[in-house]
Amino acid sequence: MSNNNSISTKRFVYISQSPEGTKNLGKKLGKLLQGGDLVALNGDLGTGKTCLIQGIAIGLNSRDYVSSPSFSIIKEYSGDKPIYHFDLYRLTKPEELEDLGYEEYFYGDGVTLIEWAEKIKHYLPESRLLIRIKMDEHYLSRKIFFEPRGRRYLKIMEDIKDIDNFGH
Amino acid sequence: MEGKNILGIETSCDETSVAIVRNGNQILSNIISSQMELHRKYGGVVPEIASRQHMKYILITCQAALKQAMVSLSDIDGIAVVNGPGLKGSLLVGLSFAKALALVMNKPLIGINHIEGHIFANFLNIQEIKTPFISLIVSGGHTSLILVKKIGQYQILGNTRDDAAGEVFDKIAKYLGLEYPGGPIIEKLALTGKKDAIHFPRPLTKTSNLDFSFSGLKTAVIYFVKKKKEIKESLQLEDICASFQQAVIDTLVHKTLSAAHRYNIHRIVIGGGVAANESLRKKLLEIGRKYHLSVYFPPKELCTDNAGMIAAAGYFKLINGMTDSFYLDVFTE
Amino acid sequence: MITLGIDTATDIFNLAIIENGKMIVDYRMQKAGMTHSAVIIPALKNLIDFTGLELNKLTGIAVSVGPGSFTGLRIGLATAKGLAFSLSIPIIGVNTLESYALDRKDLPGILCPMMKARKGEYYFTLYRKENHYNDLIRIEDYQCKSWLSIKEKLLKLDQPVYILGYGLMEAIGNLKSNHSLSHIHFLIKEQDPPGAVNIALMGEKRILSKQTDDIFELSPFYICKSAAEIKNETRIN
Repeated sequence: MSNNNSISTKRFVYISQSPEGTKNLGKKLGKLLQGGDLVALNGDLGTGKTCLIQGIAIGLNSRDYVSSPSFSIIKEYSGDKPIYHFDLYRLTKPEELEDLGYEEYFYGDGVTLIEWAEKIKHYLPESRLLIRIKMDEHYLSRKIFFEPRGRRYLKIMEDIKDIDNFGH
Repeated sequence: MEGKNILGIETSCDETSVAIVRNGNQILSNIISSQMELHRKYGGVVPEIASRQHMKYILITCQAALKQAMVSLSDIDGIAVVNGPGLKGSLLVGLSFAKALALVMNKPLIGINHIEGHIFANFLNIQEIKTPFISLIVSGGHTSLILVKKIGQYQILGNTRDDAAGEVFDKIAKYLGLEYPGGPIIEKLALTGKKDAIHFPRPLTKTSNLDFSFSGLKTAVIYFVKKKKEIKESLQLEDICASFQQAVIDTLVHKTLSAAHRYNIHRIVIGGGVAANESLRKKLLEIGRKYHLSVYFPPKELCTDNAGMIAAAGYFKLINGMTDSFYLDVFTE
Repeated sequence: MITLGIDTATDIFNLAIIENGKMIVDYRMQKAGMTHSAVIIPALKNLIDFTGLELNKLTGIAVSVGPGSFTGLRIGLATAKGLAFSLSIPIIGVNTLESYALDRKDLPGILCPMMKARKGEYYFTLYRKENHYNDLIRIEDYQCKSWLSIKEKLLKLDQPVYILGYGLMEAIGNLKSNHSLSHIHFLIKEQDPPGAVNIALMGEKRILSKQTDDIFELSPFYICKSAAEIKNETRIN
């Protein structure tokens, strides 16, 4: 365990009532992200991970089409900073990540966004923003849980939590 | 007439493929690495995503392609290679290898867009298709409508805004607990199901926009299944598959037809993995007859990724003077 | 013998051509925005034109197989395979750490070549010398560790050890390039790592001693987390 005493697993929750709501949240988050940041997303099929990332890309002023990289695994977009969009849906074992040159992305100068990040838990950097999305029991809304780790991501959460629908 | 042999290389995603095609339509060899290992063919193993594999397979695949075609490198008149879109690490292996060959053999290098390659799969084993035409390329990674004005002159009319059609087939199949590969299995189950049993949404069909969107359809199927499971009702897999498949087909056909009407085009050229779907082919032919459109598909084995289509594209670009310099680089999207 | 050396393991793009152990041309460029992929073949073509050499006069291709940049190594190795295959000449893969060590086998102690890996970690290994030819024997696995772990290991050694590294200054802290810590000597330079000339020289030697590589199998060097530990001594040279 590192001796960084600002590591905390404080939780923040946002309720999204629609894909637009998820996208807007993403936009706000995107505006706060900088080069070198990493956001890991976990959530079942259809919970809106790609949707959130579309919002983040807009927040980073990207004009590129952000569609699902399930097949190509990594897509790169340009914006205020390079955006690296990972989708690990097709990974069958975590070690396959090593064949993708992940270090150059995770530890590079761009913003790294990873869908299905739970598949590579042990490869995630100590300091990162983890987001979990769950469907509610009627499948109509989504609960989006934020778990920031590291001072930088705690600061981002402080800045973002003042919008509507945020709770603890 | 002098013939031209083009060596095509495809390493954009999972497959390593090398092919040799003569005059843009005669396949002398079309080697796909995953098919070289027989145990994979029958084992139904998910292809490895590793670009490490490309480094191991590129040479042996190239050698096998030359051997089967019974030609040597000196008989090759041009090297066509996919330089995007795809996975960067994978694309770089094919492109770097291709450039080296082109330099040593002192032959032209032709960069091919992977999606463009799927269009040219239709030119293999048949005569040339006259331009202009509309192309629908639909696979696991792409769903695009393209206006082909001339060889090398393309206008993207529409793209998917979220999931590709093939991807949704695979994800729904996995969600339903079906085996890999999902698309063909859903197609098979759909044969004995009712396509109007469940009305799933046909996203974006009410707009004049030619973009696609399938994530709404995906979630609709997921909700449907979840609700059934909740109330412990049995799932009629065949009906779900048939209804889901029909929703995808209706969407694809609707947009393609809109494009044809809007641009006053009478030739439709289909490609990509989902183009192997019989029901899609049938529906498009029906529409073709009704609206007097010529509809073209590649044979099924040429719908999935292969270098033969790349070599064909390379030939047509070469004879139209479209070659690239050694500064050609990869692009990912 | 005319050997082409290719080094795309780092930010510095390097091609070299040697003839019977002597350098003919050494071309280095700080990438600065261009990718290895875009420049490697144009650069090679220019060198060929410049030196008046014909490609079919080459008798071997030596290429860095890493450790180093993921994409850089793939570009270099795939290019090398294409060249070797179409010219029907041997190919030799050279490990970057090994090339650093061989460059300084004159030093009287254990050699510790190091390279920056991902944030906070370094690739390294250890070599000792044997016999009056100074053959290098690797006495440690190829590893990827933090500087603190490496330092701990080195402090436990009972011989002087020389750290050979390039561009590690910011990483190791405020150590001056010829600083010493107990019996650990830092020979860290800011630039000019042994590159393609060195790789070509090693390649030429291996061709002469018939230790070329299998062109089909040759792959980028890989230190896997899950890889089995191989504590064999490896004779090099």
